[in-house]
Amino acid sequence: MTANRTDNAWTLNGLIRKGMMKRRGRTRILIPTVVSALLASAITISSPATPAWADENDGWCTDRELCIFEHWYAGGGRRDYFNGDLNYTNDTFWYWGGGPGPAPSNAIVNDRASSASNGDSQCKALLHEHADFAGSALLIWYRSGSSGLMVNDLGQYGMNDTISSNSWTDCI
Amino acid sequence: MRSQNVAMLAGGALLLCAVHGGVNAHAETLAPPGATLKHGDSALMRYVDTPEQRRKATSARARLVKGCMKEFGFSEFSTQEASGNPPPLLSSRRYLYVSPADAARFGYGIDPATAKDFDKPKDAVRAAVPSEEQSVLLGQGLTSYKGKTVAPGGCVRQADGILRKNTPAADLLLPWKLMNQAAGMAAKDERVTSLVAAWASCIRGRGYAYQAPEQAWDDPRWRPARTAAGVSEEEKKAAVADMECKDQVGYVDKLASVQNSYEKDLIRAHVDELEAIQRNQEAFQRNADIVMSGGRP
Repeated sequence: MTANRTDNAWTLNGLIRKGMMKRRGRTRILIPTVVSALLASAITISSPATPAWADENDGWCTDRELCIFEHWYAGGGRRDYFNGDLNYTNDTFWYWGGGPGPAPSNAIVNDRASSASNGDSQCKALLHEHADFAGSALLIWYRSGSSGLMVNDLGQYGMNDTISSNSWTDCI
Repeated sequence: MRSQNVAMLAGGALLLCAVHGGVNAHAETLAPPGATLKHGDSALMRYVDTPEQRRKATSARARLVKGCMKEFGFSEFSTQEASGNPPPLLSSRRYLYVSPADAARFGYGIDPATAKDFDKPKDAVRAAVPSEEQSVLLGQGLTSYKGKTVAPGGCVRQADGILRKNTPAADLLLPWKLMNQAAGMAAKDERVTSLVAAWASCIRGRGYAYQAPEQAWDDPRWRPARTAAGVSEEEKKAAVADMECKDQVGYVDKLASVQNSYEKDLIRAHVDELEAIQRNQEAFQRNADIVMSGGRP
Protein backbone atom coordinates (compact mmCIF):
# COMPACT_ATOMS: atom_id res chain seq x y z
CA MET A 1 0.00 0.00 0.00
CA THR A 2 2.71 2.42 0.87
CA ALA A 3 4.29 2.02 -2.53
CA ASN A 4 0.96 2.67 -4.20
CA ARG A 5 0.34 6.00 -2.56
CA THR A 6 -0.42 8.35 -5.37
CA ASP A 7 -0.06 11.39 -3.18
CA ASN A 8 3.53 10.32 -2.91
CA ALA A 9 3.59 10.47 -6.68
CA TRP A 10 3.15 6.76 -7.32
CA THR A 11 0.16 5.09 -8.90
CA LEU A 12 -0.92 1.70 -10.08
CA ASN A 13 1.52 -0.52 -8.27
CA GLY A 14 4.20 2.07 -8.58
CA LEU A 15 4.40 1.65 -12.33
CA ILE A 16 3.16 4.98 -13.47
CA ARG A 17 4.52 8.22 -12.26
CA LYS A 18 1.94 10.86 -11.59
CA GLY A 19 2.29 13.70 -14.01
CA MET A 20 3.63 11.55 -16.80
CA MET A 21 0.14 10.89 -18.12
CA LYS A 22 -1.25 13.40 -20.53
CA ARG A 23 -4.67 14.52 -19.50
CA ARG A 24 -7.19 14.20 -22.31
CA GLY A 25 -10.32 15.10 -20.50
CA ARG A 26 -12.10 14.61 -17.27
CA THR A 27 -15.46 14.02 -15.76
CA ARG A 28 -16.07 16.54 -13.11
CA ILE A 29 -18.54 16.11 -10.29
CA LEU A 30 -20.23 19.40 -9.77
CA ILE A 31 -21.14 19.94 -6.19
CA PRO A 32 -24.45 21.57 -5.45
CA THR A 33 -24.33 24.23 -2.79
CA VAL A 34 -27.92 23.81 -1.80
CA VAL A 35 -29.13 20.27 -1.60
CA SER A 36 -32.16 18.43 -0.38
CA ALA A 37 -32.16 18.02 3.35
CA LEU A 38 -32.37 14.29 3.10
CA LEU A 39 -30.57 13.33 -0.03
CA ALA A 40 -28.12 15.02 -2.25
CA SER A 41 -26.33 13.77 -5.27
CA ALA A 42 -23.32 15.10 -7.03
CA ILE A 43 -24.01 15.69 -10.68
CA THR A 44 -21.56 14.69 -13.31
CA ILE A 45 -20.83 16.29 -16.59
CA SER A 46 -19.07 14.12 -19.02
CA SER A 47 -16.20 14.18 -21.36
CA PRO A 48 -14.54 11.10 -19.90
CA ALA A 49 -11.49 9.59 -21.40
CA THR A 50 -8.77 9.73 -18.80
CA PRO A 51 -8.82 7.22 -15.98
CA ALA A 52 -9.30 8.84 -12.62
CA TRP A 53 -6.09 7.47 -11.20
CA ALA A 54 -4.17 9.69 -13.57
CA ASP A 55 -5.77 12.68 -11.94
CA GLU A 56 -5.85 11.66 -8.28
CA ASN A 57 -5.04 14.49 -5.95
CA ASP A 58 -5.63 17.32 -8.37
CA GLY A 59 -8.69 18.92 -6.79
CA TRP A 60 -11.08 17.54 -9.40
CA CYS A 61 -13.57 14.96 -8.17
CA THR A 62 -13.69 12.61 -11.12
CA ASP A 63 -15.19 9.26 -11.98
CA ARG A 64 -14.08 6.43 -9.72
CA GLU A 65 -12.77 8.77 -7.03
CA LEU A 66 -13.68 9.29 -3.43
CA CYS A 67 -13.87 12.98 -2.67
CA ILE A 68 -13.37 14.24 0.86
CA PHE A 69 -14.61 17.72 1.73
CA GLU A 70 -13.64 20.05 4.52
CA HIS A 71 -17.16 21.23 5.31
CA TRP A 72 -20.74 20.02 5.08
CA TYR A 73 -22.39 19.73 1.69
CA ALA A 74 -19.11 19.55 -0.20
CA GLY A 75 -17.98 22.89 1.14
CA GLY A 76 -14.48 24.23 1.67
CA GLY A 77 -11.40 22.35 0.59
CA ARG A 78 -11.52 19.00 -1.15
CA ARG A 79 -9.24 16.04 -1.73
CA ASP A 80 -9.78 13.35 -4.36
CA TYR A 81 -8.66 9.74 -3.89
CA PHE A 82 -8.64 7.00 -6.46
CA ASN A 83 -6.66 4.51 -4.38
CA GLY A 84 -6.91 3.53 -0.78
CA ASP A 85 -4.97 5.77 1.56
CA LEU A 86 -3.54 4.63 4.87
CA ASN A 87 -2.88 8.00 6.39
CA TYR A 88 -4.31 11.44 5.77
CA THR A 89 -1.80 13.31 7.92
CA ASN A 90 0.37 14.08 4.93
CA ASP A 91 -2.54 14.96 2.64
CA THR A 92 -3.71 18.49 1.94
CA PHE A 93 -6.89 20.07 0.60
CA TRP A 94 -7.40 21.79 -2.73
CA TYR A 95 -9.45 24.98 -2.85
CA TRP A 96 -11.66 26.36 -5.58
CA GLY A 97 -12.35 29.99 -6.26
CA GLY A 98 -10.38 32.94 -7.53
CA GLY A 99 -8.68 31.07 -10.31
CA PRO A 100 -9.22 28.91 -13.36
CA GLY A 101 -8.94 25.70 -11.37
CA PRO A 102 -8.29 24.24 -7.96
CA ALA A 103 -5.37 25.56 -5.97
CA PRO A 104 -3.26 23.49 -3.60
CA SER A 105 -2.93 24.42 0.05
CA ASN A 106 -1.15 23.40 3.20
CA ALA A 107 -4.40 22.56 5.01
CA ILE A 108 -4.18 19.00 6.29
CA VAL A 109 -7.06 16.62 5.48
CA ASN A 110 -6.62 14.44 8.54
CA ASP A 111 -9.42 14.88 11.10
CA ARG A 112 -10.92 17.74 9.12
CA ALA A 113 -13.45 16.14 6.75
CA SER A 114 -17.16 16.89 7.14
CA SER A 115 -18.67 15.45 3.95
CA ALA A 116 -17.72 12.91 1.30
CA SER A 117 -18.78 11.60 -2.07
CA ASN A 118 -18.13 8.24 -3.73
CA GLY A 119 -17.87 8.78 -7.47
CA ASP A 120 -16.98 5.17 -8.17
CA SER A 121 -19.65 2.98 -9.74
CA GLN A 122 -17.49 -0.11 -9.38
CA CYS A 123 -16.36 -0.03 -5.74
CA LYS A 124 -17.77 0.88 -2.34
CA ALA A 125 -15.71 3.27 -0.26
CA LEU A 126 -14.88 2.78 3.40
CA LEU A 127 -13.96 5.75 5.55
CA HIS A 128 -11.96 5.04 8.70
CA GLU A 129 -11.60 6.99 11.91
CA HIS A 130 -7.92 6.23 12.34
CA ALA A 131 -4.90 5.67 10.14
CA ASP A 132 -4.25 2.18 8.80
CA PHE A 133 -7.99 1.51 8.37
CA ALA A 134 -8.71 1.45 12.10
CA GLY A 135 -11.44 2.61 14.49
CA SER A 136 -15.01 3.39 13.59
CA ALA A 137 -15.96 3.17 9.92
CA LEU A 138 -18.56 4.25 7.41
CA LEU A 139 -19.38 2.39 4.21
CA ILE A 140 -20.45 4.53 1.26
CA TRP A 141 -22.21 2.64 -1.47
CA TYR A 142 -21.49 2.63 -5.17
CA ARG A 143 -22.17 5.59 -7.32
CA SER A 144 -25.21 4.59 -9.34
CA GLY A 145 -25.60 6.13 -12.75
CA SER A 146 -24.62 9.71 -13.31
CA SER A 147 -24.47 10.79 -9.70
CA GLY A 148 -21.77 10.35 -7.13
CA LEU A 149 -23.13 9.12 -3.83
CA MET A 150 -22.93 12.01 -1.42
CA VAL A 151 -22.86 12.02 2.37
CA ASN A 152 -23.45 15.64 3.20
CA ASP A 153 -22.91 15.52 6.93
CA LEU A 154 -20.48 12.99 8.32
CA GLY A 155 -21.46 14.20 11.79
CA GLN A 156 -24.70 12.27 11.43
CA TYR A 157 -22.54 9.18 11.33
CA GLY A 158 -20.34 10.17 14.23
CA MET A 159 -17.47 10.88 11.87
CA ASN A 160 -17.21 14.64 11.58
CA ASP A 161 -13.57 15.74 11.71
CA THR A 162 -12.41 12.21 12.48
CA ILE A 163 -11.54 10.52 9.17
CA SER A 164 -7.92 9.50 8.80
CA SER A 165 -7.83 6.84 6.05
CA ASN A 166 -9.93 5.23 3.34
CA SER A 167 -10.13 1.86 1.62
CA TRP A 168 -12.22 0.25 -1.13
CA THR A 169 -14.28 -2.92 -1.14
CA ASP A 170 -16.80 -4.98 -3.13
CA CYS A 171 -15.35 -3.90 -6.45
CA ILE A 172 -16.80 -5.33 -9.64
CA MET B 1 -9.13 10.32 15.54
CA ARG B 2 -11.12 10.79 18.65
CA SER B 3 -13.45 7.97 19.49
CA GLN B 4 -14.67 10.08 22.39
CA ASN B 5 -16.03 12.78 20.19
CA VAL B 6 -18.45 10.71 18.21
CA ALA B 7 -21.31 13.04 17.71
CA MET B 8 -24.81 12.20 18.78
CA LEU B 9 -27.21 11.79 15.98
CA ALA B 10 -28.74 14.84 14.51
CA GLY B 11 -32.35 14.48 13.57
CA GLY B 12 -33.42 13.28 10.21
CA ALA B 13 -32.06 10.18 8.69
CA LEU B 14 -30.03 10.61 5.59
CA LEU B 15 -31.72 8.60 2.91
CA LEU B 16 -29.43 6.97 0.45
CA CYS B 17 -30.69 5.41 -2.68
CA ALA B 18 -28.17 2.64 -3.14
CA VAL B 19 -29.61 -0.66 -2.09
CA HIS B 20 -28.25 -4.10 -1.75
CA GLY B 21 -28.82 -6.83 0.70
CA GLY B 22 -28.65 -10.31 2.02
CA VAL B 23 -30.31 -12.89 4.20
CA ASN B 24 -29.47 -12.38 7.83
CA ALA B 25 -28.39 -15.70 9.12
CA HIS B 26 -25.56 -14.34 11.20
CA ALA B 27 -24.34 -15.92 14.37
CA GLU B 28 -26.31 -14.75 17.35
CA THR B 29 -23.48 -15.07 19.78
CA LEU B 30 -21.24 -12.13 20.45
CA ALA B 31 -17.95 -13.91 20.68
CA PRO B 32 -14.88 -12.09 21.96
CA PRO B 33 -13.28 -10.39 18.99
CA GLY B 34 -9.62 -10.97 19.81
CA ALA B 35 -7.41 -10.97 16.77
CA THR B 36 -10.04 -12.23 14.37
CA LEU B 37 -13.22 -10.28 14.70
CA LYS B 38 -16.17 -12.17 13.33
CA HIS B 39 -19.15 -10.76 11.56
CA GLY B 40 -21.47 -11.31 14.52
CA ASP B 41 -19.16 -9.72 17.05
CA SER B 42 -21.01 -6.47 16.67
CA ALA B 43 -24.72 -6.77 17.37
CA LEU B 44 -25.45 -4.26 14.63
CA MET B 45 -23.41 -6.15 12.06
CA ARG B 46 -26.30 -8.55 11.69
CA TYR B 47 -27.88 -5.74 9.69
CA VAL B 48 -24.87 -5.51 7.41
CA ASP B 49 -24.16 -8.11 4.74
CA THR B 50 -21.86 -10.98 5.56
CA PRO B 51 -18.84 -11.54 3.30
CA GLU B 52 -20.73 -14.40 1.62
CA GLN B 53 -23.70 -12.16 0.91
CA ARG B 54 -21.46 -9.39 -0.35
CA ARG B 55 -19.72 -11.83 -2.68
CA LYS B 56 -23.01 -12.90 -4.18
CA ALA B 57 -24.31 -9.33 -4.47
CA THR B 58 -21.09 -8.12 -6.04
CA SER B 59 -20.99 -10.99 -8.50
CA ALA B 60 -24.61 -10.44 -9.52
CA ARG B 61 -23.96 -6.75 -10.05
CA ALA B 62 -20.82 -7.46 -12.06
CA ARG B 63 -22.69 -9.99 -14.21
CA LEU B 64 -25.51 -7.57 -14.95
CA VAL B 65 -23.24 -4.65 -15.76
CA LYS B 66 -20.98 -6.76 -17.93
CA GLY B 67 -23.98 -8.25 -19.77
CA CYS B 68 -25.42 -4.81 -20.40
CA MET B 69 -22.10 -3.46 -21.66
CA LYS B 70 -21.73 -6.45 -23.94
CA GLU B 71 -25.11 -5.70 -25.49
CA PHE B 72 -23.66 -2.38 -26.58
CA GLY B 73 -20.60 -4.02 -28.04
CA PHE B 74 -18.24 -3.43 -25.15
CA SER B 75 -17.42 -7.07 -24.69
CA GLU B 76 -14.07 -6.28 -23.12
CA PHE B 77 -15.52 -4.03 -20.46
CA SER B 78 -13.39 -4.48 -17.40
CA THR B 79 -15.32 -5.96 -14.54
CA GLN B 80 -15.07 -9.13 -12.57
CA GLU B 81 -17.22 -11.38 -10.46
CA ALA B 82 -15.89 -12.05 -6.99
CA SER B 83 -13.65 -15.11 -6.89
CA GLY B 84 -13.94 -15.51 -3.15
CA ASN B 85 -15.41 -13.91 -0.11
CA PRO B 86 -14.21 -10.36 0.51
CA PRO B 87 -12.58 -9.53 3.84
CA PRO B 88 -14.95 -8.53 6.64
CA LEU B 89 -16.00 -4.91 6.70
CA LEU B 90 -14.93 -4.67 10.31
CA SER B 91 -11.85 -6.25 11.81
CA SER B 92 -10.20 -6.06 15.21
CA ARG B 93 -8.78 -2.79 13.95
CA ARG B 94 -12.12 -1.32 14.89
CA TYR B 95 -10.83 -1.66 18.48
CA LEU B 96 -7.31 -0.53 17.57
CA TYR B 97 -6.09 -4.07 17.94
CA VAL B 98 -3.81 -6.33 15.95
CA SER B 99 -2.28 -9.52 17.22
CA PRO B 100 1.07 -9.06 19.00
CA ALA B 101 2.59 -11.29 16.34
CA ASP B 102 1.40 -8.98 13.59
CA ALA B 103 2.47 -5.96 15.62
CA ALA B 104 5.97 -7.43 15.78
CA ARG B 105 6.04 -7.68 11.99
CA PHE B 106 4.04 -4.70 10.78
CA GLY B 107 3.63 -2.36 13.74
CA TYR B 108 0.24 -0.70 13.43
CA GLY B 109 0.32 -1.09 9.66
CA ILE B 110 -1.26 -3.48 7.22
CA ASP B 111 0.36 -6.74 6.21
CA PRO B 112 1.57 -5.98 2.67
CA ALA B 113 0.33 -9.38 1.60
CA THR B 114 -3.23 -8.31 2.39
CA ALA B 115 -2.99 -4.72 1.16
CA LYS B 116 -4.76 -5.55 -2.09
CA ASP B 117 -7.83 -6.56 -0.08
CA PHE B 118 -8.34 -2.91 0.81
CA ASP B 119 -7.86 -1.37 -2.59
CA LYS B 120 -9.11 -1.57 -6.13
CA PRO B 121 -8.00 -4.49 -8.27
CA LYS B 122 -5.16 -2.90 -10.16
CA ASP B 123 -5.25 -5.37 -13.01
CA ALA B 124 -8.79 -4.25 -13.81
CA VAL B 125 -7.85 -0.59 -14.20
CA ARG B 126 -7.06 0.32 -17.76
CA ALA B 127 -4.92 3.17 -18.97
CA ALA B 128 -7.64 4.55 -21.23
CA VAL B 129 -11.41 4.26 -21.08
CA PRO B 130 -13.25 5.22 -24.28
CA SER B 131 -15.67 8.02 -23.61
CA GLU B 132 -18.49 6.14 -25.35
CA GLU B 133 -17.96 3.18 -23.07
CA GLN B 134 -18.02 5.42 -20.04
CA SER B 135 -21.19 7.09 -21.27
CA VAL B 136 -22.97 3.78 -21.77
CA LEU B 137 -21.77 2.61 -18.37
CA LEU B 138 -23.03 5.67 -16.51
CA GLY B 139 -25.61 7.12 -18.88
CA GLN B 140 -23.69 10.31 -19.34
CA GLY B 141 -24.43 12.30 -22.43
CA LEU B 142 -25.89 9.47 -24.49
CA THR B 143 -29.48 8.39 -24.91
CA SER B 144 -28.64 5.81 -27.54
CA TYR B 145 -25.57 4.06 -28.87
CA LYS B 146 -25.34 2.06 -32.07
CA GLY B 147 -29.11 2.14 -32.36
CA LYS B 148 -29.75 0.85 -28.88
CA THR B 149 -31.32 2.96 -26.17
CA VAL B 150 -29.09 3.76 -23.22
CA ALA B 151 -31.13 3.63 -20.03
CA PRO B 152 -31.02 6.67 -17.75
CA GLY B 153 -28.00 6.16 -15.55
CA GLY B 154 -26.57 3.68 -18.02
CA CYS B 155 -25.74 0.05 -17.40
CA VAL B 156 -24.85 0.70 -13.78
CA ARG B 157 -28.21 2.10 -12.81
CA GLN B 158 -29.97 -0.51 -14.89
CA ALA B 159 -28.15 -3.27 -13.01
CA ASP B 160 -28.88 -1.67 -9.67
CA GLY B 161 -32.53 -1.34 -10.64
CA ILE B 162 -32.77 -5.04 -11.45
CA LEU B 163 -31.15 -6.03 -8.17
CA ARG B 164 -33.30 -3.56 -6.28
CA LYS B 165 -36.56 -4.75 -7.82
CA ASN B 166 -39.25 -5.16 -5.16
CA THR B 167 -36.86 -4.26 -2.37
CA PRO B 168 -38.50 -2.04 0.23
CA ALA B 169 -36.87 1.29 0.99
CA ALA B 170 -34.30 1.23 3.77
CA ASP B 171 -31.53 3.41 5.13
CA LEU B 172 -28.58 1.07 4.72
CA LEU B 173 -26.20 3.45 6.44
CA LEU B 174 -28.20 3.27 9.66
CA PRO B 175 -26.23 0.34 11.13
CA TRP B 176 -22.99 2.27 10.59
CA LYS B 177 -24.47 5.36 12.14
CA LEU B 178 -25.62 3.40 15.17
CA MET B 179 -22.34 1.49 15.51
CA ASN B 180 -20.45 4.75 15.65
CA GLN B 181 -22.96 6.21 18.05
CA ALA B 182 -22.56 3.19 20.33
CA ALA B 183 -18.78 3.57 20.17
CA GLY B 184 -19.09 7.18 21.25
CA MET B 185 -21.37 6.28 24.14
CA ALA B 186 -19.08 3.46 25.22
CA ALA B 187 -16.04 5.73 25.24
CA LYS B 188 -17.67 7.78 28.02
CA ASP B 189 -18.78 4.75 30.01
CA GLU B 190 -16.97 4.23 33.32
CA ARG B 191 -16.30 0.60 32.42
CA VAL B 192 -14.34 1.79 29.40
CA THR B 193 -12.62 4.75 31.04
CA SER B 194 -11.35 2.45 33.80
CA LEU B 195 -10.26 -0.02 31.14
CA VAL B 196 -8.31 2.69 29.37
CA ALA B 197 -6.74 3.67 32.68
CA ALA B 198 -5.65 0.08 33.26
CA TRP B 199 -4.16 -0.07 29.79
CA ALA B 200 -2.36 3.26 30.33
CA SER B 201 -0.91 1.93 33.57
CA CYS B 202 0.31 -1.19 31.82
CA ILE B 203 1.94 0.59 28.93
CA ARG B 204 3.50 3.12 31.29
CA GLY B 205 5.22 0.16 32.84
CA ARG B 206 6.58 -0.64 29.39
CA GLY B 207 8.07 2.82 29.10
CA TYR B 208 5.36 4.73 27.22
CA ALA B 209 3.40 7.72 28.52
CA TYR B 210 0.27 7.30 26.41
CA GLN B 211 -2.99 8.15 28.14
CA ALA B 212 -5.25 6.35 25.66
CA PRO B 213 -4.86 3.73 22.92
CA GLU B 214 -5.61 6.33 20.26
CA GLN B 215 -2.46 8.21 21.22
CA ALA B 216 -0.31 5.14 20.69
CA TRP B 217 -1.99 4.20 17.41
CA ASP B 218 -1.79 7.71 16.02
CA ASP B 219 1.64 8.61 17.33
CA PRO B 220 2.95 11.04 14.70
CA ARG B 221 6.35 9.36 14.81
CA TRP B 222 5.21 6.14 13.19
CA ARG B 223 3.94 6.72 9.70
CA PRO B 224 6.49 9.21 8.38
CA ALA B 225 9.21 6.73 9.36
CA ARG B 226 7.77 3.96 7.24
CA THR B 227 9.54 3.01 4.05
CA ALA B 228 9.00 0.48 1.31
CA ALA B 229 11.04 -1.88 3.45
CA GLY B 230 8.51 -1.67 6.26
CA VAL B 231 7.89 0.00 9.58
CA SER B 232 10.49 1.11 12.08
CA GLU B 233 11.70 -1.07 14.91
CA GLU B 234 10.52 1.66 17.26
CA GLU B 235 6.97 1.37 15.95
CA LYS B 236 7.02 -2.40 16.14
CA LYS B 237 8.24 -2.31 19.72
CA ALA B 238 5.57 0.15 20.78
CA ALA B 239 2.84 -1.74 18.92
CA VAL B 240 3.81 -5.01 20.59
CA ALA B 241 3.75 -3.36 24.02
CA ASP B 242 0.41 -1.77 23.17
CA MET B 243 -1.18 -5.05 22.09
CA GLU B 244 0.25 -7.06 24.93
CA CYS B 245 -1.15 -4.53 27.37
CA LYS B 246 -4.50 -4.75 25.63
CA ASP B 247 -4.37 -8.51 26.03
CA GLN B 248 -3.35 -8.15 29.66
CA VAL B 249 -6.31 -5.95 30.59
CA GLY B 250 -8.79 -7.71 28.29
CA TYR B 251 -9.21 -4.52 26.36
CA VAL B 252 -10.88 -5.76 23.19
CA ASP B 253 -13.31 -8.14 24.83
CA LYS B 254 -14.40 -5.64 27.46
CA LEU B 255 -14.64 -2.74 25.04
CA ALA B 256 -16.62 -4.85 22.58
CA SER B 257 -18.92 -5.96 25.38
CA VAL B 258 -19.69 -2.40 26.44
CA GLN B 259 -20.15 -1.24 22.87
CA ASN B 260 -22.46 -4.15 22.25
CA SER B 261 -24.58 -3.27 25.26
CA TYR B 262 -25.14 0.16 23.73
CA GLU B 263 -25.67 -1.36 20.30
CA LYS B 264 -28.42 -3.55 21.70
CA ASP B 265 -30.08 -0.51 23.27
CA LEU B 266 -29.93 1.26 19.94
CA ILE B 267 -31.31 -1.78 18.13
CA ARG B 268 -34.33 -1.72 20.43
CA ALA B 269 -34.79 1.99 19.79
CA HIS B 270 -34.60 1.56 16.00
CA VAL B 271 -36.21 -1.81 15.59
CA ASP B 272 -38.61 -0.79 12.83
CA GLU B 273 -35.91 0.82 10.68
CA LEU B 274 -33.59 -2.13 11.19
CA GLU B 275 -36.27 -4.64 10.33
CA ALA B 276 -36.84 -2.68 7.13
CA ILE B 277 -33.17 -3.18 6.36
CA GLN B 278 -33.55 -6.92 6.88
CA ARG B 279 -36.50 -7.07 4.52
CA ASN B 280 -34.56 -5.06 2.01
CA GLN B 281 -31.57 -7.36 2.30
CA GLU B 282 -33.67 -10.49 1.95
CA ALA B 283 -35.36 -9.20 -1.19
CA PHE B 284 -32.07 -8.07 -2.65
CA GLN B 285 -30.46 -11.42 -1.96
CA ARG B 286 -33.33 -13.22 -3.66
CA ASN B 287 -32.80 -11.05 -6.72
CA ALA B 288 -29.07 -11.75 -6.66
CA ASP B 289 -29.80 -15.48 -6.46
CA ILE B 290 -32.01 -15.23 -9.54
CA VAL B 291 -29.37 -13.30 -11.46
CA MET B 292 -26.66 -15.78 -10.53
CA SER B 293 -28.94 -18.57 -11.70
CA GLY B 294 -29.15 -16.92 -15.09
CA GLY B 295 -32.57 -15.34 -14.67
CA ARG B 296 -34.02 -11.87 -14.19
CA PRO B 297 -36.03 -10.87 -11.12
